[in-house]
Amino acid sequence: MLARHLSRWRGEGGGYAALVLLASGLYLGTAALIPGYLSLASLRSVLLLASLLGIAAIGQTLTIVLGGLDLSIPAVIGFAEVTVAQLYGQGWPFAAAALLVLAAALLFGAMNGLVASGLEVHPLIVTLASGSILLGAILAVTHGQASGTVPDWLSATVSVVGHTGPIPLPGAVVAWLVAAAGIVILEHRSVPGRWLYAIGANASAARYARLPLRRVWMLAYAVSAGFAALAGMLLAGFSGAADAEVGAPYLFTTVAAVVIGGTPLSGGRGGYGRTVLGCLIITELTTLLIGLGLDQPGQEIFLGAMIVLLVATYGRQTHLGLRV
Amino acid sequence: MMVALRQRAYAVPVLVTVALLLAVNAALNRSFVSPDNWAPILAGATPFIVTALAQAAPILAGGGGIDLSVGPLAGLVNAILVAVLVPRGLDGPLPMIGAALALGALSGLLNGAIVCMLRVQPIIATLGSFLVYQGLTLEVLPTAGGSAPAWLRAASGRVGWIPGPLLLLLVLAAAWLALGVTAYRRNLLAVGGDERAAYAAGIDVAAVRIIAYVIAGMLAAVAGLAFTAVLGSADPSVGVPYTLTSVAGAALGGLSLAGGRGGMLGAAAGGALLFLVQNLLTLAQVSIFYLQIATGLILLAAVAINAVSDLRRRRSTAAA
Amino acid sequence: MSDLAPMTRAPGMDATAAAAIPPLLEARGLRRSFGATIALDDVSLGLAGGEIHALIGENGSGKSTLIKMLSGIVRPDSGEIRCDGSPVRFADPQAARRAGIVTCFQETLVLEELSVRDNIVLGQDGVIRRCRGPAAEAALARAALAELGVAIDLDRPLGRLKLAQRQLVTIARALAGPWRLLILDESTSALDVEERDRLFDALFRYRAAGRAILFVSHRMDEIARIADRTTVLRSGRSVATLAAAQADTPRLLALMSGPEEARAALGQATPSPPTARSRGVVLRADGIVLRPRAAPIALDLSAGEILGLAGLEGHGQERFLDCIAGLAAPDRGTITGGTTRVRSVVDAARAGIAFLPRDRKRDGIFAPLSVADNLTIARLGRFSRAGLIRRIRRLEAVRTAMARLRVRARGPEAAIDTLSGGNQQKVLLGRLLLTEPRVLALNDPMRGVDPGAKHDLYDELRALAATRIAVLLLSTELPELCLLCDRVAVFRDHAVVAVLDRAALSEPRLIAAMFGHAAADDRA
Repeated sequence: MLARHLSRWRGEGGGYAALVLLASGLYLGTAALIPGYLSLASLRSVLLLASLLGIAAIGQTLTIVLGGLDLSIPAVIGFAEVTVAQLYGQGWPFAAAALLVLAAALLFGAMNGLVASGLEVHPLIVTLASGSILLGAILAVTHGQASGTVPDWLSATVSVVGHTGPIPLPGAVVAWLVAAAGIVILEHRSVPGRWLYAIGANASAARYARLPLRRVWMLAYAVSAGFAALAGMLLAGFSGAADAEVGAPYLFTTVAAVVIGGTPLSGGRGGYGRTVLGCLIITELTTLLIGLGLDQPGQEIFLGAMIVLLVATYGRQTHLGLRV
Repeated sequence: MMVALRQRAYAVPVLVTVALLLAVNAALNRSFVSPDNWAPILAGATPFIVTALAQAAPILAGGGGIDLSVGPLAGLVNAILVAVLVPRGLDGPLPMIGAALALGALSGLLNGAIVCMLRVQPIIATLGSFLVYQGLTLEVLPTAGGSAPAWLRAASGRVGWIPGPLLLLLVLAAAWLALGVTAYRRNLLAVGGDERAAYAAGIDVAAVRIIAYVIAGMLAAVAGLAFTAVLGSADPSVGVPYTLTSVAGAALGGLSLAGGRGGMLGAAAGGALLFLVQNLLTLAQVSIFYLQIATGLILLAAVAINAVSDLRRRRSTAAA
Repeated sequence: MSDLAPMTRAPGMDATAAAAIPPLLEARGLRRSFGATIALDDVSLGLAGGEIHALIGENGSGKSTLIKMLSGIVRPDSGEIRCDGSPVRFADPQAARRAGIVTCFQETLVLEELSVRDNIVLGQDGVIRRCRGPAAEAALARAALAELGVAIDLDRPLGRLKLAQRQLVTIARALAGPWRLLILDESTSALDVEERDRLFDALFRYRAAGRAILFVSHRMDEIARIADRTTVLRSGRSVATLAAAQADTPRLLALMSGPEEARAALGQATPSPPTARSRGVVLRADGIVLRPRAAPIALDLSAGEILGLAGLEGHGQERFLDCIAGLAAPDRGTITGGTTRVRSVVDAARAGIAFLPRDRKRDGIFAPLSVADNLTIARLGRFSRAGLIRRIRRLEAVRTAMARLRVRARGPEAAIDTLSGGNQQKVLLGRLLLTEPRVLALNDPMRGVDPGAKHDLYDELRALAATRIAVLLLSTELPELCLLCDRVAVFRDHAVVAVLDRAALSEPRLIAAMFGHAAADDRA
C-alpha cells in the first residue's frame, strides 16, 4: 500500500498531495496520542526542529539530485558551531566570525566537489574522508573542549517562543521558509539549477552536451557546505554551547529527509520542495517515536531500515543480462 | 612459485612501505622490536588488518562493491558478546565464536541479498545497514562497560608460545589460501574484473557477489571478537571508525576500487600500514585527534592514487 | 531475384541432404523486442550434427540477438528452441553450456587480470566447487590450445597478450568443456591467415566427429570455403538457408539486401537532388590512420553535402566519426574543420562540428527532464540573464524549434521520456542546431525511429543541407544512405574501401563493398 504510493512519487511532479497528507496525518495522529500536542507551542517547536534539519538538508538534496551524497555535512555543522562560538567568545564581531566560517565552508565544499568529480571517486568516500579530516581538525585545535558564547539575538532566532517582526515564528523558521522558496525557484529557473538536474539525470549525455560538469559539482558541494555552516551557526544559538559533535545526528536524518521526500538517490529527479515535506515528516516521526518511548538508537535503526526500504522500491539497477 | 609471486606483484609497493614504516617505528622506539612487545603490537594491528580484509571481498567483487557496515558490525558483535552473551553465562569459546560468526554471516547474507537481489547500489544498501547496526549497538549497550571472559582476554596475549593475534592472522591466511584451492577466488576476481565476461562464461555472478558480502560480514565479526579481546570490555563507539580505515586499507593495499584487481595480502598490508602510521603518531605523542585527520588524509590519498592508476590502466588498454 | 523466391518462403526447412539427419538444435519462430525495437522478428534455423553452418546478414539483421538467445543470455518473447527434438529454455549461459552449446562472442570477453589457464577453464566450475586440480586444469588448457595449433604460456596474465592470442584463448575456453555445438561469432577477425587455417582444420575435424558449428562471418571467402549450409538473416528474419552449392557470393549478397522490401518500408520519399560539390570544403580529413597497419583515409566534406559512412559493425566508421568529433584521436593524420585543427572536443566545438551519439538513451536524452530543457540545455546562456532563465524567450525558441522539427509532444513541458524514439531524436537534433553548427556528425540517427518520424528527419536533413550545413551521416540502414547521401564512404578493416557517388549508389553495391567486393564491382 505504502510502496504503491511511494512508487508514484518517482516523477518530478505529482505525489505531493500524498506527502502533505502524510505530514498532516502524522501531526494529527500524534496529537491523538499525546495530549497537548495540538497547540501553537508544539507546532512551533516542530517547525523549529524541522527548520534546522531543513537547512542542513539543502545540500544533501542538491548533491543527491546531482547523483552524489554529502557525508561531510555533520563535520561542517560542528566546525561552524564551534568556530563561530569560540571566535565570538574571544571578542570577534559576530558578522566577521560568521563570514569567515561561511567562506571556509564554501571553500571546503568546493574542494569536495572538485576531488569527487576530478577523480571519479564516489563522493560518499570523498566526503567521508574530508568530513573526518575537518572534524579531527576542530577537535585537535580545541583539544576536544570547545567553549564560547553566542549573541543573544542568535539565541532568540532559534528560540521556540521567538518572533520575527510581526510573524509569530522564530527567525530560523522564517529564514528556512525563505531559503526553501529561493532554492525551489533556483532549481527550476536558474541555469546552474537546470545543469544540476541534467548532470544528475545523465552524466554521459551531459558530457556530450558539453555542460560544465566540474563547475556544477563544485558549486553543489560548496552550497551544501555553506548551508551546513548556516545550520551549525543556528545550532550554536540553539544550544548556547560549543560541541564539535553536534552535527552527528544530521548524517542520516538529512539523507532520510531527502529519501522520504521521494527524491531518488539515482539523481536527476525530485527536489528541495519534497525535502521540506520530508523534514517535517521526519521531525514529526521523531517526536512520535520519542512519545512512544523509543530512544535515540531506536530511531537510528528505524530510519536506516526506512532508507533501504525506500531505495529498494525505486532507483534500482538494471539486470546484468541486459547489459551483456 | 613464480606464478604465486607474479599474482602478488600488485602488493609490492604497499609491502615495501610497510617494511619502511616498521624500520622507522623500530628506530624511534627500541622496545618496538623486543619480543615481549610483539603480542600487544599485533593485538593493536589486528582490528585494522581484519577490517581491511573484510572490506577487500566486496571491493574485489566489483560492480561498485563496498561494505560500509564493516565497522558498525564489528562494534555490534563486540556489544552483543559482552552485553548479551556474557551476562547470560554463554561465555565459552564455542558459543561466543559461533554467535559472532553466525551474526556476521547473516549480516553479509542480508547485505548481499539487498545488493544482488533487490539491486540496490552497494554503497546505499550498506549505508542503511551501517545506520541500523549503529543503532542496534547503542540499544544493546548504551555506554561502554562490561567485561570479556578471561579466555578471550588471554588470547590477545599468548596462546601457548605464539602471540594470539598472530595465530588469528595465520588462521585467516590459511582460510584464504584454502579458498584459493577452490574455484571461488578465481570466480571472485573474474566477476570483479569484467562481470559481463564472467556472466557470459557461465559464472553465477549474483552468488559469487553474495558470498563476497558473507565473507565481509564474517571477517567483520572476527574483528569484533578481536576488539573484545583487546579491550577486555565493550564500547559502543569502538567499531564505527573502522569503516573508514577498512576502505583506506584496501585502497592502500593496491586493490582497485573498480574491482577484480588485488587480493587479501595487499589489503592486510594496507591495514598494517594504517596501524603503523597511527603508531608513529602516537609515538610522537600527537593528540588523538590528529589520528583522525591522518586517517582521512590517507584515505583521500589512497583513493586518489587508486583512481589515477585505474585511469592510466584504462588508457593503456584502450591504446592496445 | 525470382529464382530465389521459393527459398525465402521456406526458411530453414530446405530439402538438402543434411535435413535427413535429425537436427541437433532447432530454432522455430524466434521473436524478441527490446522496447519499441524488434531485434528478432521471425527466425528459424536448424543445425545438424556434422555440419558447419554459416550465418550472415548485415548490421542489425539480428545475428547477435540470435546468438545470445542460443547461448542463454537473452530469452525469446516467443518461439522455441529444441535440443534433440525436445524444447529447452536456457535460464542463463550456464544452462546453455550444460546442453552442450558453447559460444565465442564477437567481443573478446576475457579477464585481463587472470592467467591464460584461468581464462580457459573459466565457467566450468561451480561457485566454490572446483572440478579439477591445477595440474589437470593446465593439461586441459594446453590441450584446448593445441586443438588450435598454438602454445601460449599458461601462466601469463591475459592482459599481456595480443588481440589475436586473446581471441584464440576465448575459442579455447569454448573448446575446453564438453560440447556439441560451437558458435563462433566473428571469431576470425583478429587472426592471421595461418592461425585461421589451423582453426578451420580443427573445425573440419569436429565436423567429421559429428559435432555442429554455427559460424558467423562477414568474409564471403571464408563462408565459401568451410560452410556446408548458409542461413541469411535480414531485418530480424531468416530469409533463406542455402546449401553450399547454391550459396554463391552474388546470391548471398542479393538475399541480404532485399531491396524491394526495404524500399517499401521507406515509402515514397524522393531522393535528394544532387548537390554541387564545388561549394567549398568545410571539413578535411587527411591521411587518417585508424589502427596500426590500416590504410590511410582521406575525405573532404563540402558545405551542403550529405556524406554517408557505411560499413559492417566494427570496421572503423564509428571510430572515424569519433575522431571527427574530437572524441578520439587517430593514430596518424589530421582533421581540419574550417581553419581549426581538431584534436579535442573543444576544438571540434570551435570548428562548428556538432556530434550526435549513437545511443540515444545512454548518451543523449536527459530523462525525465522536459522537452524544453532537453532542447536548450547546451545553450541556456542564450535565454538567461544573470543566471536566471527568461521563460518566455526560451519558450518561444522551443516552440519554434518544435514546430520546425515537427516534434510531436504534449508540449514543451512534457517529459522527454514520454516521447517516441523518433521525437526524442528530433529534440536532440534541435539541441545540436541551437549551437549553430557548420558540420553535423550523426552516428546512426534513425536507429529505432518509427517511419513517420524518419521521414521528418530525412526532410530536415535535406533542408539543413540546403542551408549549406554539411552532414556526416553514419547509418546502418542502406536504403537510407542511398536515399539521402550525395556520396557514401564504405569502411572495411578500418579503411575506406570505396566512395560511391550519387550515380553509383545502390544497395547491392554498398553490400558488396562492405563485404569486400568493392574492387570487383567497380571494375565490372
